[in-house]
Amino acid sequence: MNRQKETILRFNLPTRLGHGTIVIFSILLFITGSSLIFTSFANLFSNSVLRTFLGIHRFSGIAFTLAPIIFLVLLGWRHTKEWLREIFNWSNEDLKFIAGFPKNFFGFKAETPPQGKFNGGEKLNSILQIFGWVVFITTGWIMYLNIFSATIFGWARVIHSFAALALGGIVIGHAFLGLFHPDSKESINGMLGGYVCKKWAKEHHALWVADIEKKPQTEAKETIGGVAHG
Amino acid sequence: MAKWGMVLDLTRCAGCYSCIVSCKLENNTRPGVNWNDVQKVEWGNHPDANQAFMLTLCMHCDDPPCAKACPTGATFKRSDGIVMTNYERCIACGYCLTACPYDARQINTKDVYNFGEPAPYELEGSVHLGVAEKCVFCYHRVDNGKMPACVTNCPGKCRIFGNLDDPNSEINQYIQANNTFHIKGTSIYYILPEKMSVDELPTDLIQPGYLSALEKFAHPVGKGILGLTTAAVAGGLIMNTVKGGGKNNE
Repeated sequence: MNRQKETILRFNLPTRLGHGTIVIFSILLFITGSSLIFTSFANLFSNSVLRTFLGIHRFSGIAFTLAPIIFLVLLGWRHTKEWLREIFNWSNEDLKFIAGFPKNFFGFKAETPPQGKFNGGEKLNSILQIFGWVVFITTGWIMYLNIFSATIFGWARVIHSFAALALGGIVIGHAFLGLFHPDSKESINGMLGGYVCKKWAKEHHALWVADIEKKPQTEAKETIGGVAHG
Repeated sequence: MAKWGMVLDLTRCAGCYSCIVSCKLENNTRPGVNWNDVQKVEWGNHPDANQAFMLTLCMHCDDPPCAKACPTGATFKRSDGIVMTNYERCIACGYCLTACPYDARQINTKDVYNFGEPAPYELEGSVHLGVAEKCVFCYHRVDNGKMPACVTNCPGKCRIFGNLDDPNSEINQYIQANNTFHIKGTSIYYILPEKMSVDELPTDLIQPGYLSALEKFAHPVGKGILGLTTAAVAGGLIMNTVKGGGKNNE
């Protein structure tokens, strides 16, 4: 991050650790799980590699289950609570942002109203990822434990596979926006070091920055489990 | 091309378990692993009490759910109807076990032999470990013009194996000459002892609904969504590179 710029704390340490852990294990789960869906992909690997994939998939599933609980609930609940409150609080501004999103995604100019800490697209993505996490761990553990009927096992596989493919696509889009899209790639700095450029934050999350500037400066530092406002 | 099938004439079965023993020896299965089964069935009360033996094995389904469920293509159906597993491709995910309506498959993970140390005969041929195994109609014998081991070694001659596509085959003549119950959707026929309820028989093959959902919805639609989003990302990457970004370039 360029320290010459004025920055603002966007995500605290537990959130970043939680996000980072989920990212690592999601990638492992997606690659290893693909060998159970795409036969042509499975055919690239030997039996022992595929068996290792299956082992990694099962282990990663455990980590994927625990990571949000440890980092987002146990260590960072205060910040997680704020996040949850925000993403389920929808306004017309969020809908207008989503309406303009496709144009902006492909590099066209789109007028969008000022956004809070999370814009409409981030809210929608957050809700989908939370929903996906619940679906993945429920169906994944049903298959892992295999203590229910064959019918429940079979339907768990259907839902697990579909969710993986559909949400996998959304996650690819999410990664593109965070890493490569010229309009939003600054946000990756928030997930890596915690801080983002204040100028960028004002342009993209004006309501959030305005809200922070109203607050006393004592809250402007990063603490584990503490506030994430800079 | 032949379509192999089997008649199990329960009126001739004495419950000697020769089929199980001969299968174990022929296919070299581990302790506790049986590719076919014999279960005693009793009905009625004294003085009309009756007993018979129900024989079960892989039903070699016409459209096998285990093959549909297999993610690596390890399980497949040969053109002659024998449902096979390529153990080199099986990763023991267990999907086929749950998909099989007849519980014909099992995965043994215990690396044990009958007498502690492996006896010389136990190391001959296939020694299965950690794979989804089941009856393969002794394809290695059938391909060489022989009968499956359980058929050859049945002293009561209650197993009739042959080509269902040949109207003159022994199995088709046996089916025509007897009151046979075909387990629909499979390659297996039964002949029941007098008064034995047909309810004791395995059910006709019913394809599990979730396999159709997986095959016709979850995988194609899910792959479509993944493909569309990936294409959109590629398009976004190209467009943003060409146009030099959206409204605010940092």
